[in-house]
Amino acid sequence: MSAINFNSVSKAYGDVQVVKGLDLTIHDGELLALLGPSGCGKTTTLRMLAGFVDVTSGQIFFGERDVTRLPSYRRNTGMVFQGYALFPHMSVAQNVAFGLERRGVARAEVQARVREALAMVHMGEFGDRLPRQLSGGQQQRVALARAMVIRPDVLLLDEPLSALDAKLRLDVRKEIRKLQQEQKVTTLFVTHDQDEALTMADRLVVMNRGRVEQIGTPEDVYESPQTRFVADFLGRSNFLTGDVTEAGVFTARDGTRLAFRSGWQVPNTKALLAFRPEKVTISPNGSAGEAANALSGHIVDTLYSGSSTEVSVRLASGETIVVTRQNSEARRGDLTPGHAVTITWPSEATVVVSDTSE
Amino acid sequence: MNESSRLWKDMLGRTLYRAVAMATLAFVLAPLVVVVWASFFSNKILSFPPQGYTTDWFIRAWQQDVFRQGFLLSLQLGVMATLWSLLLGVPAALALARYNFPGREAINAILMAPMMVPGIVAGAAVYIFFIEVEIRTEIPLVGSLPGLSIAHVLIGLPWTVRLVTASMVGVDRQIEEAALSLGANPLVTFFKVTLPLVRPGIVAGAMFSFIVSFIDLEKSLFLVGPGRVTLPIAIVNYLEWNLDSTIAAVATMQILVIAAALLVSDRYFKLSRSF
Repeated sequence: MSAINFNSVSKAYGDVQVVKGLDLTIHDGELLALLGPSGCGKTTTLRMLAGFVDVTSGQIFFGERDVTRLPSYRRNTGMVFQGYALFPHMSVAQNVAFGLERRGVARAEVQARVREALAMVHMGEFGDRLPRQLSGGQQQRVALARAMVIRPDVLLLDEPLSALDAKLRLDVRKEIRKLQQEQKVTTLFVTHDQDEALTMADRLVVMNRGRVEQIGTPEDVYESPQTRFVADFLGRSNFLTGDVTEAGVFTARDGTRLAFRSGWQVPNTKALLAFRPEKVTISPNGSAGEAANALSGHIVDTLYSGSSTEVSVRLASGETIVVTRQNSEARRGDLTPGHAVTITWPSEATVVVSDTSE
Repeated sequence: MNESSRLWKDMLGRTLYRAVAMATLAFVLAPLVVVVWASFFSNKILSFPPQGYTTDWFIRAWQQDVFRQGFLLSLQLGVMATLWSLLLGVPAALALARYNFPGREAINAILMAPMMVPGIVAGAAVYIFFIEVEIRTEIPLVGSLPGLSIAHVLIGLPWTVRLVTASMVGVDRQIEEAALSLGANPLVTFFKVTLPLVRPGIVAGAMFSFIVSFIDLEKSLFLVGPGRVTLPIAIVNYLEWNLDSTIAAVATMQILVIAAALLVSDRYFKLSRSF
């Protein structure tokens, strides 16, 4: 196992820059999730690491080893594909043995390691089956065993769950994460599903237009987004336009002074105040209490969605704030449209982001 | 519409469908059945109705050198055409299906051309080409076995290219990438993964190369030499002066060889899957 390093890696197809000067480290044994909208360069990044796509400039290191010009079959990566990509003409055991045989591992050891790998993914009984006799979830577990049995320097997961149905997805997700932690295998996980990225990753990378927007632990990135794109892409955010007038103070369009925890601190700049819908409390007009940030407005719309209700509140400034209210709470106040309310939220749940990315 | 009239309509539809299917089948099979049947007639001249039945015509056919040698030559040409068109066609199909390169469409069109150009035109063209080559290099191609073989490779090539390309397109590129990432170099990946997956296409291509070569008349007409005659040409030559059931016996043997080839290959590789 080893750390993986991207050293200002770029990829261009003709005039189109798909990945721009990427510097990235995947620490030894960590699961790093690459998250972003389609076309953001995340898949290209993974495929450059696998050796399926040439690097236009920059270097890729596995530990001390420069693999930039190495063909994929000399890199020792274990890849799990979206469409499973099992060899349809080989049995499950033959699929798992394939990589070991290419490495010239002795027959007896191949058998032992195949058995071990299949047991690891709970597929020990299925060695003699053909891939087409297995369900999607079973096939993906075999694919995982096939990728891990070779003890790869890095495990590459290319949207491995997106072909599975929703319930199975949760199971396989947990299983992959558990195995990855047990085996301490350095892993790059590409996904467009933010739930997957948040729950599975040690750290996650949000990419946009070929660049890294932000890297951090899931909690870091979710609680302290640094750009409007990240705040908007990962989860949902309310945005208010205004200016940072002094350190830690944001003045909204209607002149209200609002406090925030971190982010854009340069005074007298146009900025966006961002806070999550689930951090906001709605109360009857005038009962703001001691909360750091309070604004008044009226309810324009409510959307019931089972465990929570989403309430849209139009502020005096004309901006609309979305509030998610857990339906477990005792109902406080009236949610009828037109009703005047005060919304409050803590300053710790508030950040300021630059307004440049859109 | 009430229930019984709907039922009645359904039944009418199904009956009509079956009738059309049977009629089509009969239309396709009738000539073959008649030929096979006629090969057993004891009439001196091929005519209807049969006066009795005999297997003499098969013996008579085998006793004639032109038919025996024609049959063997056609068999030999068919096998040769099949092998060479696989050797050239499989790599070509791989390149056409996998890579996008300048001139790809042009090469595809050229490889398919022998199928589009009428056989008699292609035969004449190859004949003229061989003469020109012979004049300039003094390599005797016209009427030679190598010359004839080259022409037969051209007959088979479009079939292997088309059928192998079709099955190659159906192979998920990710499966080959999986092999590469597991440490198989491109050559090993090809032999261990790609080739087994396109085998039905290769078998189908081989079968059709053999068959179209085995039954080719027009191209071969220009290129056979003295004393070297393929089976279809031997049949035409014989028909010019004779009309007896020998010809039906020969044709029956031809039908049997082709049917056997198709049945055997369909038994092991579902040919229907490669179309």
